[in-house]
Amino acid sequence: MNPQPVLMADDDEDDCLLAKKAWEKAKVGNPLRFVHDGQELLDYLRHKGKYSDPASAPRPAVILLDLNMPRMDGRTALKHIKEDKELRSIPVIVMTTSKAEEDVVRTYDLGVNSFVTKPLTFDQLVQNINTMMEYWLVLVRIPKSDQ
Amino acid sequence: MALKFSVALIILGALVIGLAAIRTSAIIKLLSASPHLRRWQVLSGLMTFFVVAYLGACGVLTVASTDWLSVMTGTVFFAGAGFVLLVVRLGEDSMRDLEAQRANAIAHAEELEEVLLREQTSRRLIQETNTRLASSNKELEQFAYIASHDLQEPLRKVKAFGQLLVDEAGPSLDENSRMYVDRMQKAAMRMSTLIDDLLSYSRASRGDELYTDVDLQRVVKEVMSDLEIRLKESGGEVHFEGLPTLRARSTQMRQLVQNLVGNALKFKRPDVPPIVTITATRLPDDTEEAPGWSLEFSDNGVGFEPQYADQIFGIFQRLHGKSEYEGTGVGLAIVHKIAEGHGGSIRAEGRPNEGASFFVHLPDRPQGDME
Repeated sequence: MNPQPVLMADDDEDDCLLAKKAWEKAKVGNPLRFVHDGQELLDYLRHKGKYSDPASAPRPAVILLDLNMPRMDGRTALKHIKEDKELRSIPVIVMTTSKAEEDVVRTYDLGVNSFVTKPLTFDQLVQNINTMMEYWLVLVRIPKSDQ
Repeated sequence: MALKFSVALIILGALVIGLAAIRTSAIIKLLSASPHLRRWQVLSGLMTFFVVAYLGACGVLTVASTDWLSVMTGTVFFAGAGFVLLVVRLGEDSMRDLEAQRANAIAHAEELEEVLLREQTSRRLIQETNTRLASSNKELEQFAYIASHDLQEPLRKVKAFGQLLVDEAGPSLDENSRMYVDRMQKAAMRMSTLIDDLLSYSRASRGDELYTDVDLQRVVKEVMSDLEIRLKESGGEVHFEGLPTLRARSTQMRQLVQNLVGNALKFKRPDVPPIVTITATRLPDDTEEAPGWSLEFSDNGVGFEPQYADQIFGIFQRLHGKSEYEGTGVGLAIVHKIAEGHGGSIRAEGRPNEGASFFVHLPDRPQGDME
């Protein structure tokens, strides 16, 4: 069985490319997949639109979520995920450039599992990915999904 | 019988007039400063005459001489007519006075209303200014966010892709190309620091932090613990004693101390461990400046040419090359801004290789302290 993917929701192509590069360097076994806004993220998770074939959108092990995105921002997407019985057990890590205390408080209120500020250097990004995935993919136990 | 009755009436009348005379003299006392005083005096004279004439009429009545009676009657009538005229005139003048007073009172009331209106207008102006101030504070906040987030964002990527370039293509790059990338990286780092410093500078000019009682002893201790590594590395010492508690904006005061002590540690002479001394002097009340404290931060570092004593407080002003001492030239500009924001001032003294001293004057009642 293929390992579950980690799903990154970020509209910034540069950040997606950097994350992909860092992912390769960090050597995480799970594949990294991308969606580019909150709506696409929900479509992926609920198998709607271009993700109507469940095989094309396997349930992610972890979601990496940017806050500022077009169409539907990360806060709204997070709210939908955490209100959805089927989806709420998927760990969501907010990865953003925002350092605003308000964002931290609000996203934790909405039920985010971790809030991480995007690091300043590439090496730090690699290190962060290693640390986060070591924790969320190896160390912790989360409920198995029905799928 | 009829005679006895008339005599009784006359005596009674004389008594009534006597009572009126007493009242009149009381009025004369009250009216000592009034323009009507003279006429009241005339009135009282007339009354006296009236009483005397009355009593005369009484006497004539008893001897019943008709000639004398008609003369007395005429005289009494004349005196009574004068009496009535005076009373009417006095009444009329009093009415006029009252009317004038009323007009005066109305004028006063209008004036008062105008003053009130003016006060309302100025109050509204103050409110409008406050609203504008709040909105400009909000704009500043927005700027701060843009500076910290939006401007840093592209830089973060320049740095990250630069690093990727070195990682992936490093071995195939010649020495020059590697140096170029290295320089680009350092420039990006520096810009990042500049943005952070600019952000601190814009925060230092904000006036929305509340004043509290700030214990400077404690502030210096906290700053020392923040600078612990630099103090250890340089073998530096900070001496301070008996610093006061004063009305100030707590985080800004901490930034002020941090920047001044940090500068003293940075601009140390090579191979001479930096020693910073912080003292506070109570400014005597009779000086030109507002009563308050003068804080002195002295060091034994590289100092500066006295001609630069003002220039060093300008934003992005530096006296040393970037290779000698790193920094963006914002630290002292922030300190200057904070001192001024507290209604105080700062000046510097220094000599090359003999150290520098910074004197911060902080008034007891800072600007914008609501208490």
